[in-house]
Order: sequence, then structure tokens, then C-alpha cells
Amino acid sequence: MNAPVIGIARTLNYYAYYPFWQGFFDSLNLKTVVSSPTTKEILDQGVKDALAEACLPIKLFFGHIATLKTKVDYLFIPRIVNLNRKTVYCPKFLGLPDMIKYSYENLPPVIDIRVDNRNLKDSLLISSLKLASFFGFSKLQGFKAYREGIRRQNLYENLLQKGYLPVNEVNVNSPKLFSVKSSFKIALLGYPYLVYDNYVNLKILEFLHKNNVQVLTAEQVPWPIRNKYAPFTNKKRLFWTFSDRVLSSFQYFLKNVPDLKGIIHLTAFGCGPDFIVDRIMEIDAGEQQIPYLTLTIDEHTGEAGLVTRVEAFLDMIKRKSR
Amino acid sequence: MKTLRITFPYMGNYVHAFRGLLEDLGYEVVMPVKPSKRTLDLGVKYAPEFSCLPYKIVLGTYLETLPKGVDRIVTSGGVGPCRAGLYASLHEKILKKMGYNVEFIVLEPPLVDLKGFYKTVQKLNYKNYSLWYIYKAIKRNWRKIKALDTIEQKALFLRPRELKKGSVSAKYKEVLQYVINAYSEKEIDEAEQEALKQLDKIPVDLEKLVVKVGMVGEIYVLLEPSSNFEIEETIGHLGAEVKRSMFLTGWTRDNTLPGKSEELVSVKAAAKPYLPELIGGHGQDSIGNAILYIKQGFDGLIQLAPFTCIPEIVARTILTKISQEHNFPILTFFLDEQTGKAGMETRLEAFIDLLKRKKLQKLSKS
Ligand code: SF4
Repeated sequence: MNAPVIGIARTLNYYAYYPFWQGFFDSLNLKTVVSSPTTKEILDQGVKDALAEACLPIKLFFGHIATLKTKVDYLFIPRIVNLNRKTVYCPKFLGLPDMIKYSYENLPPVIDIRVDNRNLKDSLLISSLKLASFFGFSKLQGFKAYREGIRRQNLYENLLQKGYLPVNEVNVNSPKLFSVKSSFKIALLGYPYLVYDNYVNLKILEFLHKNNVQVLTAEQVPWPIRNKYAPFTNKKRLFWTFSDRVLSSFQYFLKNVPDLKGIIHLTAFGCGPDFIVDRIMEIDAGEQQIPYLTLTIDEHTGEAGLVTRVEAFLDMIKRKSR
Repeated sequence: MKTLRITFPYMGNYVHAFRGLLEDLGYEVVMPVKPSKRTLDLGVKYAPEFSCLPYKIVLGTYLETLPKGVDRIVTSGGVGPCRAGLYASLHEKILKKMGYNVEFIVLEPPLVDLKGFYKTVQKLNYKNYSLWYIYKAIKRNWRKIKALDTIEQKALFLRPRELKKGSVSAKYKEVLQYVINAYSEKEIDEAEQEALKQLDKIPVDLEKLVVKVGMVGEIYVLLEPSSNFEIEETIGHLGAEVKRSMFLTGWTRDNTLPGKSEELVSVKAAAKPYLPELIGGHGQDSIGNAILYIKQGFDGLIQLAPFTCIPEIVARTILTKISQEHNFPILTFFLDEQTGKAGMETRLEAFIDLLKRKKLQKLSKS
């Protein structure tokens, strides 16, 4: 029997946790296939398959799954609930495997193991062991695979903190693009599946790079530091992981980067949590007089229009600081 | 001590019980205005574009009420993963930015943080009434909520069966006042009895073929009629009986007492095979209730959701499948400020017609 092929979508959790799973599967010699980088066709397909009211990232995910489903033996859609013990993922992540299962006919089996580090039963380690045994491996092999996953994940997060910008591809072994160092610093804040996906972000990362702008992203602020900047009023923090990441890193940048020139918030049409994140940042940035730009992406946004707006934003900053 | 002026978001008939409770606590209550087109327009103007409809309506309500002079706003919180849990924090920020200096008191679910809940209650109790006094006040107004729910359910049953269109709605409005004006538990009891008696006098046809429609969805658009264009009334007038999945009496119980009500447990159990995860909002309840309605022989289901509401989007995706599997018609409304009453009515009419035809077919076969 041939070894099974496991399909992973190149979106949503991909830009955050892929190194862990890649390490895990590699260590067990299981073959994985990642869907190709987002294209117009992929997004169009997702728009067709998902509910019209869904946010862009859900549609994107549907599109990626659609290209994968005929090519693999399993679809890997873990239900990631919590990893840091503090925040959970946005509701769409929690219902992702179910949405996919009930939307497509003739799917390969969906692996939807649950990961919730707040409880022992579903912690990342236990879920990894379960996953390994599902494929017929021993606990020891599972544990080793878990360790390899963690190792690569740490490597990845360190790279991110140093300024690695994973455009379309998360590659721990030969990371390609590094941010330029420059005194013109812009924080480009948004969820990793928007910021690092070169089709979705309409090449804005490349554009900033070409214009010698140093890009600060949420992933560059390590968790222990971010954790201190988390509550956005005295009382509450955002309880969704990625939103919390964006907002807390924003607070950190605002207070610790004296030469911060501006903030760009990259957000997707129809994103629920983001309306809260966006308005808070807008108000707070305004109070500090830091230029702030919201870029909302939907399936019709054209590259040209977006680039013009970013250009105008940069010009405005330059004029201002002259 | 100065008497503080307080307000809260508008939500169905329940505002009358909230009012009673807060007055018992020594507040001067500034009643929120029943949401109107103006409320929504205000909300739309100052809320972020992608916020959901309830968020906008509630912000609009505050903006209409605050100019009357308000010291405090009391509202509910939540710990996610639905956005509603952060509403208050963002409302507060926006209102502050606009120059309103009002203090927010946010009640978080006591199950999550009992100590915090107690602290908030103590803050709310600024006149330092005894716990016993507060207990009595809560009990009294809780009784009121129950009465309001009972009467509403009765109206939902009678409306499709009335002989003269509009007679139930008119009477209902009238008898509601009995309960609203009652104070002591005894008075509330009597008012409830009298209200039911009056409703029972309305001429109805109990033999009429009435289709039964379940209604699920997000709590605010379910409970606040102005946010859903009085959909229940419309459905009743189309000759269908609505059974709403959520009443405050059920919800509050499930969120305050450690032993959850049986009903909710079975809703969860029913949802499990389709959606094993609590996804926030009321997505899981929508699935569970749909299954229960199917089992109870309902003819169809309506789902109400704010536009972009993630839990309900997840639910809708799954409901599509459930609808196919069980040959069970489901109609979803995603509501936002652009939704028009006329368009909604047309869709409802077609839907109820379909349910009636299906039911007749079934009856003639058997
Ligand atoms: S349940 Fe839906 S409508 Fe309610 S706050 Fe959450 S996302 Fe918005």
C-alpha cells in the first residue's frame, strides 16, 4: 500500500503553524501536499462554494480545499481552539471542519482533531499522539514527531521575530525574504493569512520592500512582551488569538518604536472581529497622531487601486515629516 | 446621596423588567427609546462599517438616550468567541471619544467569574441595600420577565388563528400593560392571569390548518422586534405559528445557574453530530434547535442572523445540509441596515406558501 497523502491548505493557519505540522508529518515520513499559492481561480472557486455572507478568509479557505480535495487521501483541518491558554480562535476556525464537511460531496476523510491547550485531553501533545496512532505509529514515534514539530515551530517564530516575512511560503530551512532595515518604519498589521499571502495582500509587502520601507508585523513581537500589552481597556483583552496578536503588537509598536512613521491595517471584507480591532487602533493611533490607513480587501479589490492608496499614504507621511 | 441616572440597551419587552429592577436599586431610569429608523441611522453613522446590526442599534440607542443626561449604562458582557462580549468595551471607547462621560457597568456571566460578578453587582448597588433586599427585587422582576414571556407565547399561538386580522396584536399590546404596571409578585400573578384571560376571549379558529415554524438565530435579532421588522407578527398574519427558540427566561437560567436547564443540554446534544464545538454566539443552538424542531414535526425553520455574524454563517452552512437530508425547508435572513421590510415580507410569503402546500400534500397522502 502506498503511503497516504495528507492535504493542507495554504491559508489561515498555514502562515501561523505550518512548521509544526510539517515537522510532525516529516518525522513520521508521512507525505503532505500543500495547495498552491493563492490565485484568482482559487479565490473565485471559494467565492462560488462558500456562503455569500461569509468573510473573505473563509471563502479563501474553501477555494484552497477545492483544489486539494481530489489530489489527496486525507484533508488535514485541525480544529485549533486554543494554543496559548489565554485566547481562542475566531469562531470560523472553530467551525471550519464542519463547514467543509457539509459543503462538499465526495470528500476524502477530514482529519479534524481538536487542539485546546487549556485542557489536558486535547492539548497539542495529546492530540499529536492521537494523530500519530491514527496513522498506526507508536506513542514514542508520536512523541518524537511532536518534538520535531515544536523544534521547527520555535525556529520559525524566531525567524519571524527577526523580521522574516514569509511571502507565500513558510520555509524554515531556507527562509528567503527578509525585511529591509530602514528608518522608514511602517507597521503592517493584520492576520498572517492576509499579510503574508502575496495574492491576497495584493503584493503590498513587495511594494513596501521595493520602496525601502521597513515593515513591522505583529509576529515580530514575542508573546511574553505582547502579553503585557494585551488589554485594550483596563479590563479586557481581545479573546481571539490573531486579533489579540494584532492589537497587542500595535500597542507595543506605538509605545516602543519612536520612529514609527505610520500604521497600515490590512483587513478582509466581512471580518467580524476586525471591526473592533480596526476602530480601536484608529482611535488610539489618532490620539498619538500616527498616520493610520485601513485597507479592506474583498474579492474585487484590484492591485492597482490598493497600491495607489499605499503610495499616497507614504507620500503624505513624507510630506508631513519634511 | 445623589440619585444616579441609568440606562441600558433596548431589548424587547424585557426593558420593563430591567427598569423595575433598577428602580428598586434606587436609580432614576432613563428609558431607552424603542429603536427606530433614526436609531439605526445614528448607529450606522458612528459605528464601524463592518460591525453587526445589533452593535449599531445598541450604539444608536445610547446616542439617542445619553443627551437626556445619563450617569451610568448597564449592559451584558461575554467572553467570546462571539463579538458581543466586546461590544461594551468598544461602545465605551467610541462614546468617550465623542465626549460622553458615562460609566459602563458590564455584567459578565457569573459562571465564568463569580467574584467579578459579585463586585459588579456591588457597584451597581450604590445605595448599599442588603443582599436580602436585592434578592427580593430580582425575584420580583424575574417573575415579571416570566409573565411577559408567557403572554408573548400565547400571542404567538393565537395570532395565526385569529378570525379578524390584527385583533391579537391589538389586544396583546393592551394586556401587556397590565403586567408592566404590576409591582409585587402577587400583582404580577393577577395581571398575568387577567392578560391571558383577555387574550383567550379573542375569536379564533382552532381547527384552521396552521403551519408551524421554528425560529433560531442570534439572540439580539431574535429578541428585539425592531431589529427584525416584527417578523413574528408578519409570520403570524401569514397564518403560521412561530415558535422562537429563545426566551430570556431560558437563556438567563442557562447562563447563571451551575446546573444548566435540561432543554439546553438536549439542544447541545442534538447539535453535536453536526457541530461538536461551541463556536460562540448561538451557532450551536441554531443547529441543535433545528434538529429538535424536525423531531417535533415542525413544518419549517427560519434563521435570523446579523449580516457577517460568524457563528450563524457556520450554522447556515450546516443547516443547508440538514435541510436536504431531512427535506425540511429553511429560510435564512441575514439582516443589516439595508434590509427592507417589503423584501422580507415577499420572501416570507413565498416561504409560508411553500410550507402550506407541503403540509396539504402530506395530509392528503395520509
Ligand atoms: S453572535 Fe454574531 S451578531 Fe452577535 S456579536 Fe457575535 S458575530 Fe455579532
